[in-house]
Amino acid sequence: MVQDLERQIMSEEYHTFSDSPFAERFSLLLSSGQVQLPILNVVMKMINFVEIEFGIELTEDNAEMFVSHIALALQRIANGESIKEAPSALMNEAQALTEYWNQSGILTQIASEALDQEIPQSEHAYLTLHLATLMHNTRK
Amino acid sequence: MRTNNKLILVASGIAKGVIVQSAKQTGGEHVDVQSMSDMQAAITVQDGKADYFIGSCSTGQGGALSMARAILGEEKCVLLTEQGRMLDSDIIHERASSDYRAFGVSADLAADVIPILVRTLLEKHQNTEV
Repeated sequence: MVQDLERQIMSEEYHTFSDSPFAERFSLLLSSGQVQLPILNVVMKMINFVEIEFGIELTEDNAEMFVSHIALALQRIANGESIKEAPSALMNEAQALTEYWNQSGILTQIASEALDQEIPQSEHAYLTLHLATLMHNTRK
Repeated sequence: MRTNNKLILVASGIAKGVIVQSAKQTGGEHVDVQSMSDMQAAITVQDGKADYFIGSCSTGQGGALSMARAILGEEKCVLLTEQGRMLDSDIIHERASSDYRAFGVSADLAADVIPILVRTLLEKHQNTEV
């Protein structure tokens, strides 16, 4: 079932972000040259996956840092820049959050397919912790 | 712009709680620090309602200052942690004493960096008070 969802999300393309709760954030990232448009398309796919998979709505209130992190990290990866190596304690912490670790694995697959690049394991860990924080913010 | 001669700081990002706590502990009655979204924090500094922006992210590589860069300009922003390490206190002191208005830190180092930053900012403003 998750594979079907993943396939569905990968087939979608986003040509406008004006309806997104993150429209202003995206606009600022674009206008300041920090992120390019194709990356935001991937970010939208990942947002869509999280919303459907977890049954929540991502907004500026609960997901500002999650969305910024994804956008900037993917831009770094697309640029061929390095991702900071996650310390072993952080890796262990992320892997212990089994559900979020697994779902983040799917997010990295979505990103990897969309960018046609491998996503570093460290980024999998950072995504996991961001996802856990997001869910904590949402359930408060 | 300060009210009651206090230094006004806005904290944002994944470690904003730690930043607020550490800034209050360091600055006491001389600082007023609030947490808010990074976008709102940058706008608050831009509008002159706060003196400095302090942002944080998990890796210290970009998320801490992305909105500050977009709203305040790259030239107003500087990181105080790099490659997962805290910079030497001399360098933090130098950067805090300069014209930067937005500072970025890696979340896991925030508690160590903020005291140096806040002390330097207070020192800087005491030296420029008339």
